[in-house]
Amino acid sequence: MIKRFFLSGLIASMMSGPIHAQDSTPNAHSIEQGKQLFQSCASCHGQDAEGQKALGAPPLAGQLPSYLERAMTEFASGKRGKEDHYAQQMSAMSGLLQNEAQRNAIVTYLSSLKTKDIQVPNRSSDAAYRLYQANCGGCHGVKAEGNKALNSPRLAGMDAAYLQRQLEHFKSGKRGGSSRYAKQMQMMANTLKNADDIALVSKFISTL
Amino acid sequence: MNKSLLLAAITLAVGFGLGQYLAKDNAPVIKANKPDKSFAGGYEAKQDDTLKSNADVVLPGSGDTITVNPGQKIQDAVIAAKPGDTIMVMPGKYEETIYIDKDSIRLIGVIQEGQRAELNGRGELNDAILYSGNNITVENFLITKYKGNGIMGQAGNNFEIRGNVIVDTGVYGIFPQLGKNGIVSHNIISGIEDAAIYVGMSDNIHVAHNEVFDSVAGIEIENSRHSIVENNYVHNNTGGILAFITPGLPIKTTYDVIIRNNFVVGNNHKNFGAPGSTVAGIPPGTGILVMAADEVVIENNIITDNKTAGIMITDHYNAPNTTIDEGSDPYPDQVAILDNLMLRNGYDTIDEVKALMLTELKTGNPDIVRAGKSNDSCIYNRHRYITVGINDFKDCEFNNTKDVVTYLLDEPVPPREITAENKGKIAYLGICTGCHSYTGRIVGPPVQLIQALYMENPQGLADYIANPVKKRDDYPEMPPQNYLDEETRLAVAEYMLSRTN
Repeated sequence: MIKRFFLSGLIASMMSGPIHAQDSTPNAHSIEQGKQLFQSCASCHGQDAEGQKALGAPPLAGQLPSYLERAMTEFASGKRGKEDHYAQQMSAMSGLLQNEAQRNAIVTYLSSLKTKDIQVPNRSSDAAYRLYQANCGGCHGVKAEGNKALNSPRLAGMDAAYLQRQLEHFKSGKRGGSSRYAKQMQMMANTLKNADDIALVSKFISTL
Repeated sequence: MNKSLLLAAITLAVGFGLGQYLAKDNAPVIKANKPDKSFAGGYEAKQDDTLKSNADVVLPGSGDTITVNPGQKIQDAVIAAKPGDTIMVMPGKYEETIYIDKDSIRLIGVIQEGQRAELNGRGELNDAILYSGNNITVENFLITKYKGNGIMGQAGNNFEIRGNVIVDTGVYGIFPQLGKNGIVSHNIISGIEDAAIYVGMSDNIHVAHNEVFDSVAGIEIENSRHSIVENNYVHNNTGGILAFITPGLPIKTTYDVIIRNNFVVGNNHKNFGAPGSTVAGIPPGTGILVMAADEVVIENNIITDNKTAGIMITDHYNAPNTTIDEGSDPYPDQVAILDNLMLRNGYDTIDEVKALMLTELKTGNPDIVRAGKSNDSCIYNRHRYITVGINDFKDCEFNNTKDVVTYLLDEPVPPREITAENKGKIAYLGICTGCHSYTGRIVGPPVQLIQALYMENPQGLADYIANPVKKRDDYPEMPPQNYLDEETRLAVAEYMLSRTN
């Protein structure tokens, strides 16, 4: 580990210009660079990337790197950004995301941020808990903490209205398109039978 | 709900309860016992089409005897055996998984001066014994330290599982899945994180004289018909005896279950089921739990010291960790509670039960609790118990089950027909659905989620089941299914991805 860290530090110091964070080892330099770049995002996503409900901006702190990378790439390429006006705002910011090195630095910074422990109350008799565990928890985790192996993002801490919007977009096909992950989510969003179920499960996740 | 409506409802309920309370005479209303009449049972062999077959059955025990000594592999003896043979396993330690995929094999552990043949999974192996053959006997083993199942049957009929001691073997202790005409008796099972004895999607089953304890669920009859659970000692589990319809399974009913003459004592164990799994929702202190199952007769049990309730009856809407399956009737109908000895139950019950009691202005510790709807159910000598939710239960028209001695059949039933076309389906029913339901989480993730992950990729799923990789921290690890041949693995993957409920 020390060796590997040293090596990546060495490579980084040999390079001039933007950092290629291909090695996932957190690197003080790229964290710092990411933090600076994130200032442009902080006005919506919050100073500590905790999200801002009023602005419809989800929390990004502690999010899975692979998901952040995917989302930013999709906004940058225009694959996402037309779902609703929040998404349009995000696409207006996509200039920042065009550069891979910058994206990587932001990802490194965000995934380095600490998140609070998630408490799942023992509410197994609660319909919302059951719905979440049966339809979502298998991929997003019992505590909605996300699952790296399944490329499923962390949902804990997200606002109910945001989640509800995304589920509706997946259901209507506005979000997603033809990628494998999008299709998975479209299929699972359709297992929620109606608006009440969507509201119920969104509200549950927002309490975690 | 509209606030004023809620207020009106509460006022009405309180007023009604108060009225009843005030009108009560000091003497309890004790109904005269009805004439001695037995439950007729719900099974007629004559009307059972699955019994019609001309297939010749090789009787178990009619062949040779093969002896296995420590240092040898039991599996080698199974491979060498032919239908009808008996395999005697001498005392000693055996660290292996045994697959029995042929018919009429008796696998017997020899007990010498108290020493048993011990199957030990070292905390690494998944299953001790998996059988898919018919007419299989598994007897007198000590089974310990496996991660998945102690003994699992996969679509085998006419099984006999008896005399085994099963300690700490993961998810299920004894688990006949999709079997007909089988007996589970005289086993001692403890420390199981789901059900110690789990009868899944089976028919004509007899579970008797077992001791089950320190497990999440003691004895579970799930999506099965014509079963008797009698003379068992069920103690210190989270929930003692369960009769369930689990939603999302391909066989959608549970009915005609007799639970009688059991000791159901102090089932107050902390629930250590995997979070989110069906059994993880059982409140500690549940003696007998009926969920959505029909024609369940509960008679002559000694039900004591279960802190939440002695008997709990619930529909799918009020059950923990349960989803709704449009193919299953969610209500437990025609449940019959006959005489049972009930003492010291419900002394530390859950808030949901307290709330139910409040609606009836009941005080004290509940013996019998019903949540949700139940049609045409009945109770005998209701005045003996503290109950909630059973005011609409009628008085039972029978008071015993003595006319139904057993649902076991005189002759072995024919094996299930397995063809190239239904191979995937049988494997799905006999194996996958033990842990995966369509909509909810029994143990593993729901089938609809697997469909989303593997859409248009049955080969990917077939490869995964042969060699699963743990992907979910809070789910038990899936055992490899590589004992199935490649063709069956692909067939079952295709079948799973094609399911719609």
